[in-house]
Amino acid sequence: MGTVRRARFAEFIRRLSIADPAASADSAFDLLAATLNAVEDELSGTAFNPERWQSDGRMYPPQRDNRHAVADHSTVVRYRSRAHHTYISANGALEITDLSGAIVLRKAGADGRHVWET
Amino acid sequence: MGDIDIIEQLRREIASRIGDATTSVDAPMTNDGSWWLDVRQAGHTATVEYRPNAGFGVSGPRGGYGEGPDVVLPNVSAAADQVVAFLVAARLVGDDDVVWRQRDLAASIAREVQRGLDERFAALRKELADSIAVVSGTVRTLESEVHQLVGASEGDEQEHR
Repeated sequence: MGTVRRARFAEFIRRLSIADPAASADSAFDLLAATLNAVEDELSGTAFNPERWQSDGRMYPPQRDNRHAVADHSTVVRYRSRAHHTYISANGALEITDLSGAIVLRKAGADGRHVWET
Repeated sequence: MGDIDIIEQLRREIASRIGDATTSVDAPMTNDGSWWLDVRQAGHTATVEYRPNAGFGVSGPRGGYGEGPDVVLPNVSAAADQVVAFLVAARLVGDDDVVWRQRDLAASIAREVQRGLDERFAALRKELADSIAVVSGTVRTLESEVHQLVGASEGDEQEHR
């Protein structure tokens, strides 16, 4: 049996926190997706199968069609998922919050600035 | 009925079931993107993801990052009922971490059992297909031998005449 979800999520956040920062929004999205998929490949015990994302219990990266604009922040996009918002800015900064707005992860872009500082 | 009408209908049905809930809608940027309806009551949140032509994914509180919904339902009424069920359950269970961990563990075990069954069924299907192939080959060989015997027998009869 794979590692429980909480431990996998903690590992995902740990690895993402210490990864080299991204320099663009696309790079940040790719970094997040690659980190999450690597953790799930190693620890979830469930094979990557996006067609079963609704039922297999594995964590999947945000869907690109769940992209939203952010009012008053033209350089920031928001990806909605079940219980979180993932914000990515043009400089590669990342921020993940829960639905109440509590910050789960805050990572600066390659230029040292955070999401809301761009 | 347009997507926004469906979301409004869902919101009305939920409001008619639990009057003190607050709702918020997260509309998509694109026509084929998901609509999200968050329903909050007594400190708990249930979420509905409506994807046009794909139904209503309903999630209870305490969902994990990047996880799918707890259940996918085909229509507005069923989705509204499920939202109410999740919020009532959340009120009863509260924030008891042990209960939620047990719930996560039970879900993990259920998935493992299902995966094991799927693998076993796949292996059995393959064994059955292989067996059928062997039997079919044997039957074809026997048929061929019978045809040869019949042919030889008819040849012998003609010689006797």
